[in-house]
Amino acid sequence: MNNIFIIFFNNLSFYLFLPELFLFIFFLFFFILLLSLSSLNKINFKFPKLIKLLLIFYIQIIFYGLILFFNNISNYYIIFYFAYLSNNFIVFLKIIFLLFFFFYLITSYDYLFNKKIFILEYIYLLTISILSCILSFSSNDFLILYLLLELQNICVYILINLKRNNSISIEAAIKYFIISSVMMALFLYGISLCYFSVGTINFFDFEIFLYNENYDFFIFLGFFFIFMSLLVKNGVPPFHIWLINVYSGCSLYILFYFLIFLKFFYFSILFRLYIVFFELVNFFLNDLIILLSLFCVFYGVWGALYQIKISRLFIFSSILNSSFFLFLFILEINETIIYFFYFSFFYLLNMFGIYIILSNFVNWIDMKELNKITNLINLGFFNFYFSVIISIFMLNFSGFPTFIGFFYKFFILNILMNLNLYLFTIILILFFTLSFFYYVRIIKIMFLNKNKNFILIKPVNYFKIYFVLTIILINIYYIFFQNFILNLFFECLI
Amino acid sequence: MFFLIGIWGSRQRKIYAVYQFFYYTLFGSLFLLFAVFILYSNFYTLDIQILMNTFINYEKQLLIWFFLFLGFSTKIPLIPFHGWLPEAHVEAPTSGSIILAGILLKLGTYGLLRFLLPICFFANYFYLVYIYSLCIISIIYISFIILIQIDLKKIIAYSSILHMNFIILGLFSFSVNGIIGSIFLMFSHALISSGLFICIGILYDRYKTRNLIYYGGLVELMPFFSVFFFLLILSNISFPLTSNFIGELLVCTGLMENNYFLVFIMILSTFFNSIYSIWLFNRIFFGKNKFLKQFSDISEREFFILFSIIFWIYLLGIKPNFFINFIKNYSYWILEYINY
Repeated sequence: MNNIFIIFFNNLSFYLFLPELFLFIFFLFFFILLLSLSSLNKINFKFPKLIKLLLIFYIQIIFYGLILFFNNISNYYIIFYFAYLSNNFIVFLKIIFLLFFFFYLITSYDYLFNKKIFILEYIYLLTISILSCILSFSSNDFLILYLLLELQNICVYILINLKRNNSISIEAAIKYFIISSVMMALFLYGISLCYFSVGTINFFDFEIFLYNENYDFFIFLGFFFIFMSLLVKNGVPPFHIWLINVYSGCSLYILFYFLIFLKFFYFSILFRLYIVFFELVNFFLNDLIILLSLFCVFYGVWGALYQIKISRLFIFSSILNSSFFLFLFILEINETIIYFFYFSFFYLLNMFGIYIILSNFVNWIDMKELNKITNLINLGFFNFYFSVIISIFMLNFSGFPTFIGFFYKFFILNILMNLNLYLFTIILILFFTLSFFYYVRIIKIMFLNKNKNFILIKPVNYFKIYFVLTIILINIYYIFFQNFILNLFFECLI
Repeated sequence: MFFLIGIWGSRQRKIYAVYQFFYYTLFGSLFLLFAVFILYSNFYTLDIQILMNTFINYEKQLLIWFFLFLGFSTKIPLIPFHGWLPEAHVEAPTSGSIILAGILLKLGTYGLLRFLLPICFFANYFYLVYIYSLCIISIIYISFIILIQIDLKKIIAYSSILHMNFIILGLFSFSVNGIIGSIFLMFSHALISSGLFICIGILYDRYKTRNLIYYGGLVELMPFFSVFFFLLILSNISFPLTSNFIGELLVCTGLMENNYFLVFIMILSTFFNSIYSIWLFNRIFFGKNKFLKQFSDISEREFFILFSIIFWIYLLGIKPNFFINFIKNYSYWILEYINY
């Protein structure tokens, strides 16, 4: 018995795997605590202070895990018989993911208590899904990737169905269940096709196989199925109709879990596969990707024009943003890694800011949650600074020149011009001008309309407003010192 | 400008005007961005000094010229894109319309002079016919359309479109006189139109209306003001001794080298110009006073504002070399690139 422990602790793979292991063990510990408490009914309301202490403890664990990722011995390693890979790119993904999750928990602390949600069950499901995300970034094997994706899906089915008495959320959960199970079946079928043609499911073997230019029809078909299943799960148009129903069914807290984390997660998994199957993508799938990204822009802009609720507007704007991610698959690898982090970092940052603002979007008199855009009327007159902050975020998302969103479009259009796609760029420009309309409309409602029947909106906490202000400062800092952040990404990754 | 008009504008129609202003200019500027992308993807630089000295493919020039021109012509604004200007001027507060007329409109012609003319030397001659015909159409159309307007600010806004068309004609005459004249006209038009907008702002502060029907016989109530307004109207019709006269004369002499017919049209339009502006003065200051009872001439502050503007207009009209010496060398230099 002693020997086994000695072998395990002397093995280098243990130290390399330490951060994940640390997070896993402490989550288990947390889970046992939960089980011991959960024999009591509705512990939220009986022991609120205990629950708060547990939450703080839990948030601290995530922070320590983050520090362990920074402190790792080396960034590049392959362990567990070529099944688990790590390099600079993957470590960077994990750090960003955990960092945002840490901030996300801190800022949604009040919101959870105000809404009187049964927190512990809920947080436990979140952690399993986050852990599976982190592990699946570095999975170097199709089977492990598939299992982790399934693990993550199971948590999400329940998380959507948080409002158990609401029929819309039940419908949303069932829809998501059906869609994701069908798509996972397609994913599995793709894996089996790949296995049929090559005889392996390891990514390294695929890379070696494709490097020798042994293109087979079945490996192409298999990769195509895998690619499409992940795109459909991400809600890329024209397969986006389920997404709007599902997202509008779940509560705001879970909606932004989707928009901030899962969107980034699926695109990063796609990106990992893109690096492995680079030659296949570049030869066969370029035209399809361009077409899909055009669909993204079209549906994202066209759908958002008619929205009344703010949260639904941001669902559509996330569809528009996913087109920027899709464009990156046209390029070569070295350029894309930096652009990918650049897009995803600012996308996460701005969505996070919007989440903080919307979670505080409450009527001050009867403390009811507000949904509609027209509820913002006259905000510019009684809460000037708050409305300026909102309008800066809107201009960021719309891509007004000199704001951060403009630079996404600048890079994308510049790339397309280098490929001599003139007509395509003109169409995109016309759609981008259309997309200004609904963002500017919010600013118009806040500042220009004068109406006597306005709603007093609750001001944001001091604690939360610091987050929002730092996000805006980072955005503004980037406008003046663009090279700094791009160089930072460059040095971290290569 | 969006907030300037939207928050401090006078009426409820301001939101419509703001949207129009925002979308017209954004539409133009994104096409300008497209032209910049074409330049960058072909030459990998945006240094204007290098681009002026490089030879660009003829077909590329035609494309770049078209998109650059779309961007600048919404700012000027030329006739198919002129819809936002009267709306924005009418709804804007006085300071907003001064900035619009004095600075924002000049951005378009500045862009034409600085970027479009020297880069696309071949395409300039290719599109010359279309430019001239657009200018003729807009001059005739607008000089007729002013005659039926009854809003004071709309009249001045349309007249500023008319003067901007003179400036474009001067730029596309490809001669030294034309270019000097157009730069001179830009400067003088900024002074005159902002002066006229200040005058209308003074009237609006007193009587809370901009409708011409309610005015009349104002010379009895505001004698000092009427003198200033008369001096500004004279400079608007390019009366000799005013700065506008020098500018239009130079543009005419520049156009004489190319096209006699255009000069004829221009002189015809100055005739229309004098008709509506003198008629405007006549309707406001003479005739019977039916509605206005309050006697309040201009205050000391307003006197000095108007005096400082009119002083510069007449100084440049009497001694134009004072300004022309600054721009003479530049216009010779830029003409070498245009007539490449």
